[in-house]
Amino acid sequence: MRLRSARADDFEALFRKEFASLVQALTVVAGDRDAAADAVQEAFLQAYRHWGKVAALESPAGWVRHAAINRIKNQHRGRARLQAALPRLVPPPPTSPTSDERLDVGPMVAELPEQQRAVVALYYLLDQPVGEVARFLGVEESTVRSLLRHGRARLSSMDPREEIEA
Amino acid sequence: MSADVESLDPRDEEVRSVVAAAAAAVPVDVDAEWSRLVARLAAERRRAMAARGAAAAAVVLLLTVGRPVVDVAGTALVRFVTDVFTTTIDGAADAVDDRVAAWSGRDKAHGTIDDDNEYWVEVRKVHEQLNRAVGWSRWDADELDGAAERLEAIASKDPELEDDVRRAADLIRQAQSRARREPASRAHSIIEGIESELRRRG
Repeated sequence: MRLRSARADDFEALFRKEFASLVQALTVVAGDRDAAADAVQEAFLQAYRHWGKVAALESPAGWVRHAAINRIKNQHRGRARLQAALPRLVPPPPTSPTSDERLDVGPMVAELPEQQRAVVALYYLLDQPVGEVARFLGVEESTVRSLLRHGRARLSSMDPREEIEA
Repeated sequence: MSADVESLDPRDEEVRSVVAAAAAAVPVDVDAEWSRLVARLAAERRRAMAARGAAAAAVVLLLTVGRPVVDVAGTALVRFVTDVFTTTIDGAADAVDDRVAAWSGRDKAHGTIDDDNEYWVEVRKVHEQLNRAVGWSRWDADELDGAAERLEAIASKDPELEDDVRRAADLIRQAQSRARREPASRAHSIIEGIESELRRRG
């Protein structure tokens, strides 16, 4: 299926180049593939509505990535508020499904605690600096550094001292 | 890579490759997602067109009910629609009659013209061509055939308006050569200004 407008050629090329990797990265961040795909879809819709301006930017892909991260961030905060409110409203079920059960990624990453996994993905896959990651999660930068440190320890086979000593 | 002190950790490359491999395992059907996006855009377009169609139908209905003699040149029509929408249905016909009556006295761009003044008649003909070319929801460059030449022929007859007349002619040529509506719309505004000036002079 194609869009009729000639301006859509560049847009389609960007979509086909960036969509999958962005969804994959945000799936690791959010722990939910469908939520990630929706966020990236919305970001591309937004880009298309303003394509005249977005296409003229130095990095249209960067614009889309930023828009998609913002959407996931809003979802994340909404979910956090809901999770905070739910125990006061209804008792938790005996076995509640976690987001990790929807996460179709390698076991090492899937087994990371939710916040740690989000930090690692934002930092390593989406190249977000520590300050941005902290804003995303609504935590202090020191917390992000701590989560990164623990994430590295779990995902790396290397003792950080090995390389320094070598 | 993030420009951050954390990126200096010796385990970075290994961790990055582990996370990238995990992400790559997430299945994504790009073709299906593209189809979904196109369908959403098409739905948006349909909604926008339906809204425009409803607005057009409302205008046609109001024009039919009021049976006004309307010069559908841009601003006058918008004023007409705005005013009529603010009245009740019962009072719509009265409002139309009042508005049409008011136009001839108040709207200097669309009042009567001096048929004996050749300059004025030519400007008016171009105005009518522009109305047909760029009227409401319309764009037909062919309607502008000869308009630029008509303006060039009279331009020098009024030194005070000459620049505006030549500018309008130039915009009409641009609209035709580039097949773009926007220069024609700007020419239309200039021509309305010229007619207002002619009426101001009497």
